[in-house]
Amino acid sequence: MKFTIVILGAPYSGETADTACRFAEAVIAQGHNIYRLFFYHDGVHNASSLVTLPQDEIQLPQRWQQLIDQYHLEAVVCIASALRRGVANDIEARRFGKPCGNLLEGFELAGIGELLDAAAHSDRLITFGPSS
Amino acid sequence: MNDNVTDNTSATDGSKRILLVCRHAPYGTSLARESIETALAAGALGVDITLLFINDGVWQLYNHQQVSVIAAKNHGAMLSALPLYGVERLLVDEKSLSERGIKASNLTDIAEVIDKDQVKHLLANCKVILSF
Repeated sequence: MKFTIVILGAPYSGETADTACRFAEAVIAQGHNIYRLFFYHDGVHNASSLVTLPQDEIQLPQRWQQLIDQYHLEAVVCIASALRRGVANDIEARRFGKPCGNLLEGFELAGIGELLDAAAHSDRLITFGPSS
Repeated sequence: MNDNVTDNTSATDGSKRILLVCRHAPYGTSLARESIETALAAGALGVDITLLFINDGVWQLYNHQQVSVIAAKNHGAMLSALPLYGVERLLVDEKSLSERGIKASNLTDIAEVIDKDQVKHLLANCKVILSF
């Protein structure tokens, strides 16, 4: 089955993003496919290279990145949600006169159309909500 | 994969209807705003989308939102743009209204009130649910 996973929660603030990542790993372990990961709302923080956690805690952005890299997943970060929250690639950062981009490699910025496309082309779309 | 559990059509024609479930109040978090942005994008892209306002999401439809006191953008104004984008099916859960003491006459007239059986039917019959 083709799954799309929507992540609305930021890392660290709550457990939902972590659960989403575990779910994605389980989907793959069960032999299913992931059509797309879509990071929306506070979920865009999962794609920030500036997230810095104590060494003995799960580094969720890197965990996503590893999964994306290993299985060649498509990881789309909503550009509107991201820019509002200070997540940008170098191109967007330059466009808006910001000192630097911070989007982790493996993630890409795109519009909500990618979410609607995923909804149309996946067998299952699972949303992992915000923390609150 | 087990095809028996794949109840979606392949939907390469893009005809799959999306149900957007709006569960959060218009202010306090940006979830409501970002859910309506999804609906507007769907409308702009010609995707068939229905909105269901349930739980605190029914507050989004409340008329006479006075946002000047909280320096926010008027959510009601954003909702009123939906029909212009071809998004015309806005449904609101009667039970959520009565639990909050909201009369249907206090809602924007673009919404249609449905009872809990209709809500159940809707949730059971939509292949794709985006939950915010």
